[in-house]
Amino acid sequence: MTAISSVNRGILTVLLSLAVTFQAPLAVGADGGSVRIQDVRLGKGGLLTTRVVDLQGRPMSGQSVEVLHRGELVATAESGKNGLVTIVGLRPGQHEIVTSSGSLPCRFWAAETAPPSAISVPAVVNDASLVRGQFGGFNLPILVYAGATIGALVVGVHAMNSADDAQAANARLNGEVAALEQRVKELEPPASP
Amino acid sequence: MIPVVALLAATAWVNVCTGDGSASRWVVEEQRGHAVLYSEFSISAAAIWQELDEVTGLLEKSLGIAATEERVEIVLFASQASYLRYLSSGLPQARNRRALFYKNAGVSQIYAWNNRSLMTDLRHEMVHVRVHQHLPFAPLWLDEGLAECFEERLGSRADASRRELLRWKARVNQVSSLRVLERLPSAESMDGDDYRNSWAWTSFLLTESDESRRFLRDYVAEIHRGEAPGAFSSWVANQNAELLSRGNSYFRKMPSSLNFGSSLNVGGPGR
Repeated sequence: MTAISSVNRGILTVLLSLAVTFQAPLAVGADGGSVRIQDVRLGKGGLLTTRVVDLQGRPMSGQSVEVLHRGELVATAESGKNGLVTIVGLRPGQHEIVTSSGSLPCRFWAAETAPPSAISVPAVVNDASLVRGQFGGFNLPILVYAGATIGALVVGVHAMNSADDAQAANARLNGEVAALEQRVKELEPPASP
Repeated sequence: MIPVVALLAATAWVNVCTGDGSASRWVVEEQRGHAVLYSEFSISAAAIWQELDEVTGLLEKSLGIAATEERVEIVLFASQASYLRYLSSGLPQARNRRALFYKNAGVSQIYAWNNRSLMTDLRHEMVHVRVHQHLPFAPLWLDEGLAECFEERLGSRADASRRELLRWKARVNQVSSLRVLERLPSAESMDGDDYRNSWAWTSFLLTESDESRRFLRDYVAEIHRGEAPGAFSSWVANQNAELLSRGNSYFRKMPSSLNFGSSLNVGGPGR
């Protein structure tokens, strides 16, 4: 019984340790800070113009966009050229513009009553999470590439040096052959008249 | 009996590898304001807060990029192996990066491991934290350019070789234009040249003249308001068609010490 308990405890410990080893990044807490609400100035006829962008601010076309009011869908559209979306017939009040991977809480205002901070074309970022890194660290492809390049350089330089040596040896032998030929000529008896 | 011993040995080995033999793996666990520091090794939390406060101050002073009340978690590992083990499944990008910034659901996280450049890495990642707290999105060249500019302490910027290489590249017209940097698809696709060129263009805009800095500040403010002004090169060309054409000349004569601090106007070429 004791042995079985020990085995179970051991297995459990191994599994827990493995779980810790391969865990995801720290869990995101609930206190992610207050959510900023964007003030948006509607155009005539309750016209909303918005732009869907990626995390670099580049326009994204062909993205589905929904407008929610108190969690209920009030309008849908698809972003066109330059990521632009236009929807008419919206009313002032708190809304949320939602894309497949992002959302923007908004407060819609009629043009006449909008505060100075309100904007006409809010951007909706269609991305939920973000990763940036400090360049450096272990990069196998770059190491392999660098190694191959250095290797090729060494082999190339060695080959060039060998070719130079061979050329020099060839030139030296040619010189020796020429000298021998000259010597042979000198030793040959002069042709009889 | 033998299987039990083997299992216990395996458990001990895994615990040694993960450093999880104790109740908590964190030797240092300290909260300050909205930031929390976790470290697997002993390190002065005060020194880290001081470095990160300086970065925060510089960003606010230079471009009006302000800290928010969003939570920031800084996680330090005793070794690269520990860092990779911790992040390999959740953030595979860690494999090719010395440190990482990760943001999700309004919480920013910095992951780094104990190495000679740790403070530089933390300053670099803290720039990303502040930029993405202040802005809903940021062009990659600006995001990384600011991180490169502010990653070293004032008065100790040992980036003479980077500056010298930039000068030579500018002389043979080999510095990528801003339009090329604006087309970079992702952070993963950036190489050393892209980081250096991002730093060069950001330094240019911050220090070339009051005008160049004002344009960058206005561009950042427009994004902060919630609008999408488009690519900076096109946006600024509508207001000053020749500003970016001054870049290469600036790079050729780039001053040996840039000052992004108390007087942002210090250090331009010919000054």
